[in-house]
Amino acid sequence: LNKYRDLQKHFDQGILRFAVNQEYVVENIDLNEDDEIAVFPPVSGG
Amino acid sequence: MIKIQKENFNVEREISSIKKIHSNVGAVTSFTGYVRDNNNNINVESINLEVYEKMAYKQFEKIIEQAKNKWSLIDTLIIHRYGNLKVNDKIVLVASFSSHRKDSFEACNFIMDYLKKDAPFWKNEFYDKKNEWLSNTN
Repeated sequence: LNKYRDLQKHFDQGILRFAVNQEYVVENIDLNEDDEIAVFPPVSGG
Repeated sequence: MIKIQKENFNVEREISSIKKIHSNVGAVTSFTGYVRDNNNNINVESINLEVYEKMAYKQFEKIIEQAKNKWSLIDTLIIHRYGNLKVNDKIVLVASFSSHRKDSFEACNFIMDYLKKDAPFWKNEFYDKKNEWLSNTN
């Protein structure tokens, strides 16, 4: 969040979802160097 | 089978291409989702659907595995489109193939519920003069 200041306001809303290597994560986990990390807003597929 | 594509699809053709492989299939339940012209009382002209494709494939495979563990399924099909879609365009097709109807009905519903809740797609709706990103609508 220090690096991407604009994320803070979205983070505060508690709506962001997180994925590591294309799997949702809801708790802190240890990351490896090559992990693919995604942060995104509420989904709306289907 | 999982397909994530820009192109339109033909429901009957997609279903029969899988059905004809399995003569033990007695029941097929399918759901087709379309772009409709109205959301929350605002006229919708089109939508732009974005996808995190790599994750979508992985998650679709996982949800199909879960469905196969819960119900007796012979095959499953998920087609999800992305890109610019107009009112009346098809967005999604889910079909489940089983021997008897109960398994196919329930599995199809289960897969669609997952799609609405967790599939990494985002809808940007275009109205007359503005556009808006939708959040989860279930």
